Amino acid sequence: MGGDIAPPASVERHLHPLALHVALPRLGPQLFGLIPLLAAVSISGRWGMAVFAIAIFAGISLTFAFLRWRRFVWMVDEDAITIRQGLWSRSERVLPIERIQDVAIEQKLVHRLLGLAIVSFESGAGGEGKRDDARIDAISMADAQGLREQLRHNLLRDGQLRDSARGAVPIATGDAAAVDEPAPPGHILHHMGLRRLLVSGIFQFSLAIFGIAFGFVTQFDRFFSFDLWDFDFWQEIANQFGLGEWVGAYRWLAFLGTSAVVLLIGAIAGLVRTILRDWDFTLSSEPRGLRRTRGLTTRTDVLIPRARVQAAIISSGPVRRLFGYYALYIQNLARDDDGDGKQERDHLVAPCVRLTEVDGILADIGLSRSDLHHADWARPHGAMILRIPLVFMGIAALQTIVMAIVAPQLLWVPVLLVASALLAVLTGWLDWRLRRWRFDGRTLESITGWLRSRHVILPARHVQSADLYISPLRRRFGLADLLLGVPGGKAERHRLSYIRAPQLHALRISLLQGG
Amino acid sequence: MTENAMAEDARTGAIVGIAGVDAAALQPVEAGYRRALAIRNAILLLPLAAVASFVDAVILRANDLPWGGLIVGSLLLAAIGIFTLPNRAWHKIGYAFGDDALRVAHGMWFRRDTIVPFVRVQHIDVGQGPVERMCGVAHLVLHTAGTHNSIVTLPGLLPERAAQMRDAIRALIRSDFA
Repeated sequence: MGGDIAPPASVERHLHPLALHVALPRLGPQLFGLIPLLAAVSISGRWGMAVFAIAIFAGISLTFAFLRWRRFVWMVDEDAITIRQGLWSRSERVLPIERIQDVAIEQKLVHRLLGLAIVSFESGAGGEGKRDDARIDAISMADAQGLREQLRHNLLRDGQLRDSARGAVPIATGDAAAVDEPAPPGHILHHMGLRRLLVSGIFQFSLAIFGIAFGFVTQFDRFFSFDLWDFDFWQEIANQFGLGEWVGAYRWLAFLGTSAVVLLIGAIAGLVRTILRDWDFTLSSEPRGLRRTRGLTTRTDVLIPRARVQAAIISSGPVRRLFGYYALYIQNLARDDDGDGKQERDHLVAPCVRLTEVDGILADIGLSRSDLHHADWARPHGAMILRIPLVFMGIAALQTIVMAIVAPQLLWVPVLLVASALLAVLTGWLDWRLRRWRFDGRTLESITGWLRSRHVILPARHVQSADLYISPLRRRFGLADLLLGVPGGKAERHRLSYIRAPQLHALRISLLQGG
Repeated sequence: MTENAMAEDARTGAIVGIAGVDAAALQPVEAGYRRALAIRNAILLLPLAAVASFVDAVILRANDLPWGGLIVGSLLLAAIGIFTLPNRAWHKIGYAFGDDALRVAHGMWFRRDTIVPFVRVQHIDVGQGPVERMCGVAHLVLHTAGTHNSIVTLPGLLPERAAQMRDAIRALIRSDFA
């Protein structure tokens, strides 16, 4: 259609006048607000009043719809799209054309009837749960296509550059599932054989599965019309046979037996889940990026473009670490399916690998890992250990005062909190002991977590913003936290805690300059 | 990016480089921001104080319960929220606008100090709420591609100043790719 009717540069434009009609259906739900009024009227029987009220309501709504339409102005000039809107709260958004990643045209039913279209823009800005970065609702279809045509010319010019912030794209059309694909061509970085798959499956044993299995056993017990955990049941047997002592021991045997069964079920469930998800797991290196194929029943095929890799995370559990096995994740904007239909924020590119294998994959995406023992790691300040105990102690002190006034016989309660504080000192120390970070001028690495360890590798060029955070405790010791804004991933991941403030200022400068 | 950035360029007075922004003395925002905060808090706290006073003077008193505390407490809270806190918040918020980055710092006990390089900005908002309009101030919002901490807001600017900053950043984004 008419791609040549592009709006002239720097002319302020309103929405299509018919866009007001699009606003009308939205009045519908608001009319429900009048139901109590109508009810009141129908009781009193003054229908004239009702008509009057509805007329006033419609009048006011239409006036506001019109004023909002009047206030909404958009314009395109050579370097940006500007959208000005708002009646009470006014805002003017500038989207530099250089930053626009995608222009989408959408038509709902009303729009189609009226020949209108919604144009929405994606600039690559972050933020959770947002839909698009700007929205023009609505202009004529011809205008919409003209606008997209005008911008597409710009989008195509250096699409490669702008690719950097976007996420992974599935190779198959639409969905990530591409059934019966042959093994992907290209150089294979990592392939999981049967033995490794089984090892990985054993480490997949999780407490959640353990819990489910436990639930099953309880169900099973009911099925046999007795309850393993019911003391009276055993008491009764003991009384009947006069074998109290023997049964007392037997009860423990039963408990141990049940636990063993539950553990076995948990392990098998983890194993089955892993085999289903990671069967024939293959990670290969292609010119554009990493390609991952996996799965027994549902085979998926995902490409993670090299340009979109934001950070790498090497993670391990407390047991897995002892055996020297790690999982490697890639942070990017797209989400991964974890095999159970749950969305993960990062892409798993190796579920169970040795550190040497991790290095091989990292090298392919231009990253490298510093060894835990040889590199010059920096450590956070020990004041970190105090942060949770101090909170507990604060609450305990408050509680002591309150108890002393209100219920002196309950003065022992705060002792529990003091005990928790001592426990928190222990976990705080464990956590502090393993934390470290280093920056080599190009890449920031940090290690955290005492149960589940995480080694994060973040190239400085992906840092979008840097915050220093100072709380009273940190200030007391001259410390601060550094929080980095990076596309994709989980909150708080890129955070260095309890570091000397001058050191963090310097780090922040070089991180932001390294981009 | 300048390697040995000085805090301020001697000739133009412009803050040069990320290091310059990090080292620069923070500039206060307009006094209108303090007023805007006070009005916002008044809108929030005065009705609350009215309700609390009503409960106190009518319901508690009618039921022969000790009364008067709620009135004094809620009014005190409102007074702090309207007269003391905005002043303090205004003293603690500051910014540095450099040639390639913006720094915004705020907070008393829990302080947050953010730097956004302009090359990282995806789009820019200049906005003004009704209270801000009454006080003659506007806010500037920079959006980056980060998934977290992706929105950096600088309130309490004169509308012209906000627009001027916006245009400077916009020009820089254009030259970044050109």
